[in-house]
Amino acid sequence: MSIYKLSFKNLKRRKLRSALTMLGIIIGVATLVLLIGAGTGMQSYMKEQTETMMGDISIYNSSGGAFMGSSGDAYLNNDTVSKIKNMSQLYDIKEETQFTSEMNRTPIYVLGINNWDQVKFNGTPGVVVDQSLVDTFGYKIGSKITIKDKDFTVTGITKETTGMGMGLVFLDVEKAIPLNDNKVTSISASARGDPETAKKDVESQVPGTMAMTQSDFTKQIDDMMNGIMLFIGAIASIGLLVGVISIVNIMLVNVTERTREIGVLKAIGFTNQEVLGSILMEAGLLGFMGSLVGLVMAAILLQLGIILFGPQLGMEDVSLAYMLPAWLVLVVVGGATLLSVLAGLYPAWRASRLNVVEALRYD
Amino acid sequence: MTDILDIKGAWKTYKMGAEEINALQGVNFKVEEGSFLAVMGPSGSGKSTLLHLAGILDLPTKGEITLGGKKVNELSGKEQAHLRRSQIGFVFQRFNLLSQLTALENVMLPMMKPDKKKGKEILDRVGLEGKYHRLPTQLSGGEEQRVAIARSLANDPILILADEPTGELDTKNSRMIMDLLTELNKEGMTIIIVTHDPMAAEYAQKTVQMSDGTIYE
Repeated sequence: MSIYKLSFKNLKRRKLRSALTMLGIIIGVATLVLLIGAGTGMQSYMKEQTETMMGDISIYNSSGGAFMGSSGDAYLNNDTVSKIKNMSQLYDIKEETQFTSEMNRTPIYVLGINNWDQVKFNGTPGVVVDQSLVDTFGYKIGSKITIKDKDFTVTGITKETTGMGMGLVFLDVEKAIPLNDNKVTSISASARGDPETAKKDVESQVPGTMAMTQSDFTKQIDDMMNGIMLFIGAIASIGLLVGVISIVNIMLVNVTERTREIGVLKAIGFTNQEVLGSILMEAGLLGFMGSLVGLVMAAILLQLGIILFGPQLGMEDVSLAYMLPAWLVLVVVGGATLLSVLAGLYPAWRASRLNVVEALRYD
Repeated sequence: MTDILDIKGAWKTYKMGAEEINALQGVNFKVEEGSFLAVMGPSGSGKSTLLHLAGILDLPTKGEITLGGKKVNELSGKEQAHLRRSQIGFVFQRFNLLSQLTALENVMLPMMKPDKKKGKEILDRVGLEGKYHRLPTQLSGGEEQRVAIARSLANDPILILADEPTGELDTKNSRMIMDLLTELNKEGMTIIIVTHDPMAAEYAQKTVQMSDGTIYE
C-alpha cells in the first residue's frame, strides 16, 4: 500500500465531488478537442482534396476569379482560354465554369466540371442535381430538366448542397460552357517543370490572369484555418482554465478536510515530499481522467457530426483519424494533466508544510 | 540494558501572543530497552509534549534527544521522517485509522516494503483474524485500536508510543488493549504510554508523574 495508491482511494472516497470537479475538465477538454478536431479535420481534408483534385496550377481571372453571382468580366474569356491552351509548358488542361441560373423560378447554381471524382452522387455522371431540387420538383434519374432553354436528362442525385437555399446542378463542363456564353471560371493544368515557373509564365504571357499553385492553395488553407483555430482554441481554453481553477479549489478543501489524516501520515513516517507527491498525484489524476473522458466525448460528437453533416459537406468519407491526430490527443491530455498537477501545487505545498502535532489535534 | 531513548535537559517553549509558555522545563527522560513506562499527569502537565519529542513529531526548543543511538537534533527532516517510520510505532487516542482503507491496508500503509502476508500475520497477532478487509467503520472501537496497534508494528519498530490508548474505550476494551500491549512488551517491545487512566497505568512496569513541564518519578 503506497501513499500514491492512497491518491486513487481518496478520489474514490468522494465520488460525487471528484466527478463534479472532473466535469470542469471534461467540458473544457471536450470543447477544445471538438473545435480543434473539427478544424484540423477540415484542414487536412481540404488539403488532401486540393492535392488530389487539382492540377499543378489553377488559373483565374486576375480580378480574383468568378464565383457565385460574379459579373461577366470576372471570367476567363475565349481568347484568354485559347492562349492558355496554347502554352507549351501546360498539359492536361481542364476547364471549369460556374454560374447562377433559374429552374422553374427557383434559383440554381450550375457547376460545370471535368473531374466527377470530386462530387459524391448516386447514378452516373453528366447531369447531377441536388437533393433540394429532388424534394421540390420530385425529380429522379431520367427526369427532364431545362437550364437556360436547353433540355437535359438527370443522370444522378447528390446530397451536397450550396448551403444557401439554392438548387445545385453539376454538368459536364463541355455542356456547361456554352450555357455560360463560353466563359470559363478557372482552368486547372499540369505543368512541365516547376509549377512556380509555369505560374509566372502564365501570369506574364496571358494578360488578365492570375495563377495559383497547389502549395499556394495549401498555404492559403493553412493560413485561414490556423487563424480560426487559434481563435477558437483560445476561447475553448477558457473552459479548461475554469476546470483547472476548480481543481485548486477542491484540492484546498480536500487538504483542509484531511488535515488530521495528513498529520497521521506524517506521524507514521511519510516525508513532506511524499505527502506533497500524493496530493499532486490526486490533482493530476483528476485532470488525466477528466481529459480522457472529455476526449472520448469529443470523439463521439465528432463521429456523430461526420455522420450527420458529412454528406452535405461532401465529407462523409472523412475519418475520425483526420480530426483526432495523435498530436492533438497528446497535447490535450498531457496539457490538462500538467495544468491539473500545477493546480495541485499550492494545496499540496500547504499539506506538506502542516505541523504534525497541530494536524493531529485537528477535528 | 541499553537506553533506547535519552532525552536530556529538554525545554519546549510555545509563544502565545506575547506570552511564553514552557510546556517542558528541562526534562531528563531515559527509556531502557524492553521497558514499559506510563507517563501520568494532569492536562497541560507536558506529558503529550514529551511523547511528541520522544516520537520526533516535534523538536525541543533546547536540549538533546537520542533515539536508537542517533542524535535526533542533527538529522534532516527527511531523516527524521525515516527514523520515525522505521523505528517508532504510534498509537493514538482516536485510533486515527484511514477511513478509506481496510484494516489490512491500514496496517500495510507504513510498510517500507508492502508485505500482505506480514500484514495479515500482524492482524492475527492482535486478534483480528478474518477481519482483514473490513473498513474502520465496520469495526468496534476496541478493534480499531487493535488495528492501530497492528499498524504501529508494521515496520518492526524499537519503540511503541501510545497517547491515551484507552481514552475512547470502555473498561472491557481498555483491558484488552492493555493486555495486548503487555504481551508485546513481554515479547521484548519497548512501550511508553501517556494516560489519565490509573487502570491503564497499572499495566506498566513503571509510572512517571508529570506536572508543570517537569517529571517526578
